[in-house]
Amino acid sequence: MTGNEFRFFLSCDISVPVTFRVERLEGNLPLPKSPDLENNAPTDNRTTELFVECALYIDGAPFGLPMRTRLESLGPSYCWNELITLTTKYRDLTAQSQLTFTVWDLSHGEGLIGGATILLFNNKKQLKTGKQKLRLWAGKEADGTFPTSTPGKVPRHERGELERLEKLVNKYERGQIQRVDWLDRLTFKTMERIKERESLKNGSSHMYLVVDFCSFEHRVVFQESGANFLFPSPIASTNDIVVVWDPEVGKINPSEHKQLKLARSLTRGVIDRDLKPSSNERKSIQRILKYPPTRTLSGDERQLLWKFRFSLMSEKRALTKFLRCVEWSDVQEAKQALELMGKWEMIDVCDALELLSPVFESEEVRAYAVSVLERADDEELQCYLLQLVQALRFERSAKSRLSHFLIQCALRNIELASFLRWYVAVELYDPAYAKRFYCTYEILEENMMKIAAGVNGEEDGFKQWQSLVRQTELTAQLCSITREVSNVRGNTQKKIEKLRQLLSGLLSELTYFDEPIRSPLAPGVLITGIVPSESSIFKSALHPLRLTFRAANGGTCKIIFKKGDDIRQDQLVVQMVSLMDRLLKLENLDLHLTPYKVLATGQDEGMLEFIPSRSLAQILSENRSIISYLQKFHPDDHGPFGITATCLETFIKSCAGYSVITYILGIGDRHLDNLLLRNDGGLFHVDFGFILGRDPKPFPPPMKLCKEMVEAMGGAESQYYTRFKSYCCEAYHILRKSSNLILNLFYLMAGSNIPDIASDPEKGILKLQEKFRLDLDDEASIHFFQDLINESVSALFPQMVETIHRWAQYWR
Amino acid sequence: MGCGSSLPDRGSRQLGRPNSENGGGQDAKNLRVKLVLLGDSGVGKSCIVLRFVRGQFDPTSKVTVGASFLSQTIALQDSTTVKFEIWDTAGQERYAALAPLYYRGAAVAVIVYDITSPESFSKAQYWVKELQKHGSPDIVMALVGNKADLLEKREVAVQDGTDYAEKNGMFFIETSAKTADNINELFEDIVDYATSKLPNDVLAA
Repeated sequence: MTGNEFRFFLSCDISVPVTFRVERLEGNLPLPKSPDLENNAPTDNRTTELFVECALYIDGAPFGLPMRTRLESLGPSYCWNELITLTTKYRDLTAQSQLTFTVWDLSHGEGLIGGATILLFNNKKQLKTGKQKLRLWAGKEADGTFPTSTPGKVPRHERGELERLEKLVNKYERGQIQRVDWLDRLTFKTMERIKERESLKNGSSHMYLVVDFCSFEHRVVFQESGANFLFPSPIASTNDIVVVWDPEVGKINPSEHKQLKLARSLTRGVIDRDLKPSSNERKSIQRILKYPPTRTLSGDERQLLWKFRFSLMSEKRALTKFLRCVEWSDVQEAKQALELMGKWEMIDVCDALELLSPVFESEEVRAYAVSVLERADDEELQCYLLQLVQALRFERSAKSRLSHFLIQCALRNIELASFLRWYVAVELYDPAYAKRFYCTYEILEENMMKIAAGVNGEEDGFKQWQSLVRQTELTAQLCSITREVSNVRGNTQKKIEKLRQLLSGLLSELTYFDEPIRSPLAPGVLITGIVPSESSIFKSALHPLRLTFRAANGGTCKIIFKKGDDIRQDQLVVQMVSLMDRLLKLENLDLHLTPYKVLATGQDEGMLEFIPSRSLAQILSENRSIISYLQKFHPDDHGPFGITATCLETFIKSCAGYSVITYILGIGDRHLDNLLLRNDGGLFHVDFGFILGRDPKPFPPPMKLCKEMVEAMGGAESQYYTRFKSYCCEAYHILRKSSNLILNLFYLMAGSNIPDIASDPEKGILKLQEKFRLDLDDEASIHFFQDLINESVSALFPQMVETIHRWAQYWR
Repeated sequence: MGCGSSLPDRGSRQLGRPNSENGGGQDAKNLRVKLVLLGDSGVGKSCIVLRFVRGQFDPTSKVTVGASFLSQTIALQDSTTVKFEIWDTAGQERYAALAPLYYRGAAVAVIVYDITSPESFSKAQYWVKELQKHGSPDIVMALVGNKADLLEKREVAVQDGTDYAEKNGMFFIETSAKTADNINELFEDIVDYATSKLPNDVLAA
């Protein structure tokens, strides 16, 4: 429990009688003025018999019957120590409730000793607890009126050390002061001495009654029973606008609810079956069906789709929208919806991904989505596998249809098994869902172990699983190496020497694996060891390793291993690049993209495929221009700019592809060090630490184009630049048609811990959606994109407009 | 790097392939042992591994994230060579879900606590129960009290460790990664204990 937390009871919730204890009387009784003294009566034989009368007053009026203690005659320390229970309950008290105490003496005629009154609630409306020392008003009966004429509390100006100490003792007994044994003993001893000294000083001027109020587990705060929380606002007599609060805001409208029920009742199923939408309704429906998956439907829209659900069954795209209209808490409605779903026109894989999003909780709907996925081939599934693993978060249990499906795919395809195992293992770092993902991991392992050896000479499942486990051992050893070389003091060359020394010495087993290991990046490739002489370390803060592995087929593969960086975001972006490349090629547009492989093997570690290339920063520091660099590799006196037409075409196309992709994904922090150029002219981007519009540099231009790229195409007026723009618009058009697929995939990543998504999942998706300009038709979107290119490019050349000028500063 | 480092004991270590020329003697045994270290954060699991494999001690050892993997081969007096595949796990609570990934299929588990920290001894007991529930049925378990050089700060008595190990069918040893006390003995005792308890083929799991 933090210090800021304050727990309390409300007095109106306490249904027990008011209870307190009358303890004792302190001080000396006044001497009686009796004429019997003159008759030589023995004063030693005189005895007094005292009792205390207690009464409750509520708002100044007596409430219930007064209670009396027993007679106490053992003086002079009269001690009743008696528990008094009134007939009144705490819940019946008001803020001005008072207890009166009057001490009576029965031993002789007059009998009145004194009285005092105390409020039950303090000025903070908290119930008083603990010991209360009341000063008696001599010769007066306790007065219960409000305010009282006989307050038991000592007036402020008369309070002294004793009163201060009493208050502290109360705090101590309530547990508000920490108990320290040795210090407590010393303190109480000192307090006794102070009390003796004070009593001698004051003589017998006052009498005190000590009572003890009941304590509760928490503080008790006054609250009147049946309090009306909806206080009517005072309506001023002036002409000011009067704001009256509506207590029913946010509550269900009974009329609306009833209307909805009637509209969707079972009997309408008979009538709705033959309904056909009018032309206006058809237009509305078509507009609704175009909504992106992030768009929620209004009440009227849901009603419209529900009403014409039977005629929509032949429209496959409508299923995801229809299922959003269903009130799943209504058993009859849900049942009807599931029946229709089973008869609906078969949906595409893209829509199945949408049905796996967190919006759809029904197990039947999610199982239906999985049945659609079962029709996809392995190549397509691998495009979505990362998101399908994330979708396991939204399942109701660990053993879902989706989990079973993913495992079945893995069992028949070792490459899918490798990726599935890694995607699941990385999620074990998330405490919220670790158990679920571990359950999937366990089932995968158990089923894998059971596979028998194949007739085509395939290994049995046990050996295949061991091969995957050795991938984890390899990455763990690479982590150890990275740690070792990071500790080496000195320049990069010294670290490289340390790396090669380790690989030749203590870790020489890494140069020849006992058995081949499937490359984590490309599980179809068997690697047999690291080549020390060709392994190196990049010059950067995290000292990533560049390793050359010998492959079983005689070749080599080069891998970058990074420790200390979260590359899950890179993994996602590169997967998207790969997907977009696939979508473009399906439309016969090959933009020579470089979707190099990335695999996160942990929260802060991972592998990347190494592509031989040079950064634009390097190229431009050693050459005058990109063209003069490419002339070294592809010289052609008859070609454009002295290079082959093929090389220039590759450059132009790759620039176009990445310009569109970095625009759509909102890739930030672009500079000449993370733009790389392959020898064949293909340009590609790396380092995706900022996506979805996040950028550490101010005034990012919408299109990430630099002047050097445009100049390599011959400038903004050349035919090659015109061709570049044409490729951009064509690519944008193609990807825009698949906006639903891309949005669905990102939506499934909403639960992941990828930084730029996790920071604000909803806003990130909306930013992505905004890039597609789904509010425009095809022609208007092309014009939009052309204008965007023109604006971004004109920023790179001398202009006086301030905003555009600031865009140009981006590249410096 | 690290104070108090000493040269590794070369006599008990043999790198490279085992020598198969026995001069007519019996074949040398080659064992591969998957070994996992578990225990609370900061008790010195990584330092034990570093001392055993590298002969070094790093007082500034950082928190392990996920797990670390190293292997080391030792040669016993009877020409047996044992290759330890050592998984050093993260002890922090938030990585607890990763532990089953590493102890599944492990032949040996070393549960480490810090003799100056009663809390780490409680955590060690938690891991013992966890392994008894979810680990391999025939797993060999060792209980290790590390930081034995900090005698003046001891909070967990030797007898407590001995009693608990005996009760749970484990063997017990106190070590100091800093001073290298009992580090090599720990791994040699593991082999002795394991070979006396289990047939050889089980160890190669």
